[in-house]
Amino acid sequence: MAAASWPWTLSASLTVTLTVTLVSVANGNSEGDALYTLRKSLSDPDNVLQSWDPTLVNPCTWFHITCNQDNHVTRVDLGNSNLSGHLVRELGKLEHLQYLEVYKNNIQGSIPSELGNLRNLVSLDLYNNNISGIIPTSLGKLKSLVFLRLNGNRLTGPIPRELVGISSLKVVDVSNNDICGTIPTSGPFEHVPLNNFENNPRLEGPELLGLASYDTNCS
Amino acid sequence: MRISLQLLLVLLVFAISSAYTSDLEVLLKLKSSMTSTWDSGLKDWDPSGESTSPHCFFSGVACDEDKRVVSLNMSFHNLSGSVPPEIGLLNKVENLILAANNLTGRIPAEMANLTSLKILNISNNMFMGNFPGEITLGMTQLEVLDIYNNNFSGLLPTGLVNLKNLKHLHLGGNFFFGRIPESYSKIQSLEYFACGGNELSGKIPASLAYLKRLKYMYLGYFNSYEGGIPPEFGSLTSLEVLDIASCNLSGEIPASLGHLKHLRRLYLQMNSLLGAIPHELSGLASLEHLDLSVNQLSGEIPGSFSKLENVTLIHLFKNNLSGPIPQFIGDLPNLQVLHIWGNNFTSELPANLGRNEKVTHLDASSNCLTGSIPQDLCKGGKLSEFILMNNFFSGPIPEELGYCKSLTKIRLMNNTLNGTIPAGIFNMPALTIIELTNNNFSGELPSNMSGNALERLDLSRNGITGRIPPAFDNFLNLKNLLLDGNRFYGKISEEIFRLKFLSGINLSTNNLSGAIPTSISSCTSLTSIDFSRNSLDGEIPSGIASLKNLGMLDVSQNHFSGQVPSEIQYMSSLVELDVSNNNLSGKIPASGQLLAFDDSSFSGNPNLCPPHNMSCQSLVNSAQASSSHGYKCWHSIRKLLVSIITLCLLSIY
Repeated sequence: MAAASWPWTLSASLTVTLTVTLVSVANGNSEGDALYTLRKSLSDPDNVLQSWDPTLVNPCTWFHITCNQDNHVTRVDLGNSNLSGHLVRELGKLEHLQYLEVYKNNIQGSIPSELGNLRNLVSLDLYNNNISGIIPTSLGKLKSLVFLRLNGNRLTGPIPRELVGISSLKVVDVSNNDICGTIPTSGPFEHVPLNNFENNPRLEGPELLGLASYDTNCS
Repeated sequence: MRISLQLLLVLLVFAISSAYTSDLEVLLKLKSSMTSTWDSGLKDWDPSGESTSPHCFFSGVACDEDKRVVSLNMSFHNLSGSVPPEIGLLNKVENLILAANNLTGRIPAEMANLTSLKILNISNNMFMGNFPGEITLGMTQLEVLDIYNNNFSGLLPTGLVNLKNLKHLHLGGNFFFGRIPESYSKIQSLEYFACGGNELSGKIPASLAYLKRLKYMYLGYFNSYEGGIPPEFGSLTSLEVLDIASCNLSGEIPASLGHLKHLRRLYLQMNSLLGAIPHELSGLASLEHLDLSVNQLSGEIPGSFSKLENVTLIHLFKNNLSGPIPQFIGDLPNLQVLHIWGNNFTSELPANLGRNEKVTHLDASSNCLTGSIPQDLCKGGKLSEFILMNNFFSGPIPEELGYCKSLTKIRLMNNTLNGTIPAGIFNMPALTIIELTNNNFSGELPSNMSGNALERLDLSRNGITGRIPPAFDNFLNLKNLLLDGNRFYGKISEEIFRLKFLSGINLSTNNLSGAIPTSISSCTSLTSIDFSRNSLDGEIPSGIASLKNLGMLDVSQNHFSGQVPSEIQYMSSLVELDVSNNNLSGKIPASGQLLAFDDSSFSGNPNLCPPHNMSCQSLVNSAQASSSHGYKCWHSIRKLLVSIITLCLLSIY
């Protein structure tokens, strides 16, 4: 359909409270717009996102969203919500986000590399979905990350070495995927139990530091 | 001679009968080209049967006395594919409506033969390419051309400017680019002109002002014009609706628009208009809707606007307007919607606001307003949206608003309101959100509360006191309950946790006492619990571990005792935990989820040993020995048994 496939002539006469599609220009609330983009790319049979109304001045009254006192989004709680569809790049704009809980759904597609921009992120819980693609190396920029749980998906590729630099990382779980290459053993990975890597048939085991070839057939 | 006359007759008869079968054949051809494999509602287009002109009885078809098709309506039939050129053979058709299908491809040039057309409507399809305006050259009777919502591109068609009867021209919702042609001013018969929702640019031609019959003009949305609103538009004296919203307009609103005596709707929102709102706009005697929102307008609301007796909707939000809200706003007899948020308005709301008994929506938030809330806001019992947040309002919420059963949203946060919240606010049938954060409200909550629509209740940071009423469980759809930063006392009522959808509860920073009700374990939707900074005691119920979606648990700064339930180690959803500054004891298992939290989650508990800490082991042992009576008892019995066995063994020897 066309550029303005929504019935703008109707909207013109119903402008009473709705200025829907151009809210990103009008509203200026980039966090609400980013989350609304997420809503549009998710399929939501249980209507958990029904309150996500982009015409509101900010998303702080939306359900499953928590803001701090400056009206910046700090938590997104969408675990166990029967959602499918895919994540969006725009999530990387939520600069104050600390907890991204989207576990136990049916989300597909890949992990947007823009999530590496979430400097304040403490918890990235995408476990038990249907996510594919690689673990973006940009996640190595998440210097406050404590929880990285990506288990129970269809992720491929290696575990990015960049994650070794996140000293705050306490819980890493990539089990039940199709990850290949080797398991990092330094930094935070010293304390991650081996069963948090299990059920990745192509995973070769802990890296052997000093030896030449790594991650063959794994890109 | 006679033979040739007969021949002529035969030819004539043949021609006429060919004409019949031609129209029938054309329709059958349309059906076969444009219908999809499954049912499309053209089942009755069946050529068999007794009638000599069966096509005249097809649904959507009307014929004249000569059995020629004059009207063809195939809308909403799930048609697909493209329109075959044979359509040009229906040269008697006056109404051709193919709207609301999935038709694609280009407009066949043969349509130029449809010289009888009065109404051509191909809206809501996926036609593409240029729109060949030349096909209309022969359509001298054409009154309506509607190609809205397709994928047409290229420049706006100019082949149609010589049409003398065209009243309705809808080119909107396509991908046309370039300028609006100046030559459109030649279509003097035009009453409705729409080209919004395209990719048009350049200046809006002032010559459109020559269209003296124009009643409706829609130019906005997705277009991006150069310059502003032509002042010449003030001479379009028949205009009833002018919509130039969201298309990059700059400059000022021309005062000449005030001449449009019949204008009912003026939509100029979402542009870059600046300067003051011209007082001459008070000449818009018929005006019902005024939307100037989301621009850079400055100055004050003109006092002359008191003449706008018919106005029902005023949208001025997100501008740089200032000054007071004039008193006449409260006297406008028909005002229903007043959205003026996000400006620098000062002084008070008109005391009369709402007395017209028609006000339904009020949003004056994010201004510098002072004074008290007008008491007659809901006099007509119609007030639905009541939003005044981020201002300096003082005084109480008028009691009258407690009887306003039509309320759906109350958002008054960040003001200096005081007094007791009227009890009726907690007994509203349609109210979905109550947000009164950061004011000086005092007094107690009513013991009778109900409301199936309420989803969010935020009373945080006020001075409300009394007990938390058990009746909270009557808010059957409540999802977020925020009572933090008040002076509530007494116990947390166990009834609260009967709420099936409760997702977030924050009772932090109050004077609550007693234990956490064990019923909390049945409140399975909970994702966030904050009970911090109270005087709660007892143990943390182990049932909390059955909350499968709990992400945040903060019980810090209370008097909790006993152990941290070890079941918490299995709560994979829990990513935020704070039990610091309590009187907890024992050793926290160094396993499962508990490993993820550092010592700050557990500090301030002298007898508690956090998971990572090895040095507090002895401290724990002695603490356990002194505080745990049962353990000490077992220790003594063990010593006694050892002594008895030793004695027995010795006696055997």
